[in-house]
Amino acid sequence: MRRMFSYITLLLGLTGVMAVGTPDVVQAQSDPLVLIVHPENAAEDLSYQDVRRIARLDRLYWTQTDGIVLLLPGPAADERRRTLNRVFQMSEQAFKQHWVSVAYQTEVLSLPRPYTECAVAVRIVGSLKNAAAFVHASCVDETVRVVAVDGKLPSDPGYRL
Amino acid sequence: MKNASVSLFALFLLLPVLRVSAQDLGGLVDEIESRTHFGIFTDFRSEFFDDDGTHSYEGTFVGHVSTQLSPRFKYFAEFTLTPDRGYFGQIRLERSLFQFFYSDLLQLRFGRLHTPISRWNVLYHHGQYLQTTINRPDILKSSNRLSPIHSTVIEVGGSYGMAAGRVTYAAGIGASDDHIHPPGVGVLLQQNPAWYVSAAFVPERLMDLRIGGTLYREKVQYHPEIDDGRPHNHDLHSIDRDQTINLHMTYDGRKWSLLSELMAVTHWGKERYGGTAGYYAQVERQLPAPYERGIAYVRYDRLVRNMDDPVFSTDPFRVSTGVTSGVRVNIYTRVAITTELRMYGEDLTFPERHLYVQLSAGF
Repeated sequence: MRRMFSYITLLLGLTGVMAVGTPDVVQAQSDPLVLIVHPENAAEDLSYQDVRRIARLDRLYWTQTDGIVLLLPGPAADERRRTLNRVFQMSEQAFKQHWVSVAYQTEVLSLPRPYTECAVAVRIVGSLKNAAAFVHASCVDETVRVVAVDGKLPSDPGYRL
Repeated sequence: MKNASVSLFALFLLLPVLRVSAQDLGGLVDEIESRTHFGIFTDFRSEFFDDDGTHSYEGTFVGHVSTQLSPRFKYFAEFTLTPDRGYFGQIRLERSLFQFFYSDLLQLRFGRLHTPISRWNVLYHHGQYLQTTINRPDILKSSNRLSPIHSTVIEVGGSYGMAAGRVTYAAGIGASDDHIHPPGVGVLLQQNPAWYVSAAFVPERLMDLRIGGTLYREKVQYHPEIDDGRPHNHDLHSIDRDQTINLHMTYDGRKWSLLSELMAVTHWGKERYGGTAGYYAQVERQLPAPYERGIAYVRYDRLVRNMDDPVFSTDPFRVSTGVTSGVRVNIYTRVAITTELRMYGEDLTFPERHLYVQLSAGF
């Protein structure tokens, strides 16, 4: 019995020491996040919950049969932290584990594509009618369209991204 | 060996499948059209048992591959490699399924899959890195004979969004690949045509919450050729049908999560044998800063068996209870170490105590 509790004490102590991590540094972001789509895409206004569903691949189609090709900021992209906080509401660790889990559950057709530079994401969304991406508003040009969230654009008060 | 050959064949067949788009955008669209994904889980765990001071080691290697064969068609395969029966290792085809995606509302799957009879079975199964705990809940252990966890089926499923939330559904028909093997009886029942329907609801305002359930029914059959020579349980011969009902509620929040499931089993033979049920509730909590890499958890398991049911009549306990607690630490982005203490027994006055340590990784 004593031996057992020695094991427990030692192992819990070790795991506790290993649990110490560096707190995340929260950076202020003045450039809001936007969901962009191809100009011919029918989606103009989505609820915040629908935006989250699209991001998490709970919703896979724009219309009855028109599949969504999603681009998300990769680890080095400027939009990464804001997307995790405002859309996924996950830590970096949980986000990475989430996609491993999604791939394992087999309920989606394909995984989102990561991008590093928002200009690349804008170029792809401007070229593919069913593509969508989360980018900073400052990166948007006339080749893509910004989707309103709960009826609000980034310039409106109460915009949620 | 046949399974091993099939697994390796599937893996090598899919390795070169990388689709290239006809559009030319400097390779950008080509890149997003590459739809083959490989994943690996691996874990190594050690178990310490306090009654005689013995300990054992176990490990698993899990590989899975999915590839989008067309804009609507996908193939997924999973294989496991485990050290078993003294040699390394036994390779097994765990899942192999084709999926057809027509819309959010309508998707088809056919092949060998993890039966959606339990949320845990769908979320984790061999994904040891994904699950926070080391041990799976008691209702999902094959030795407890409550749930058929593998099936070869054709399934229709999908989801439908409405103002209040989103409803997901699945309905399948096929056969379970599992056996029911009561201890000490020496008789197996092989399961034949089976069907299930499952549904779940995710509310609009609380997307991290999920409430759902499954009804599973199948015919079962006595197989005398699998008799191991011990006396037959003749009541077991009469059982020809079984039913499993599952209800689950999960919450996956940013700081804490809840997994809870209830499962009730009925067998039909000389008479109807109901009253066997099990449940578990597991709570996980991310540790506060600066320990946020750690997740503390505790789970309570309970099984109540109908001892008149021939499937459970040779079990040592009518009621069994388990408490599992531990700490998982994500030491790197895709590597975790977990320490777990599990107490199990007829009651918790004199339980068996097991201590586990596991290193797991997922890529």
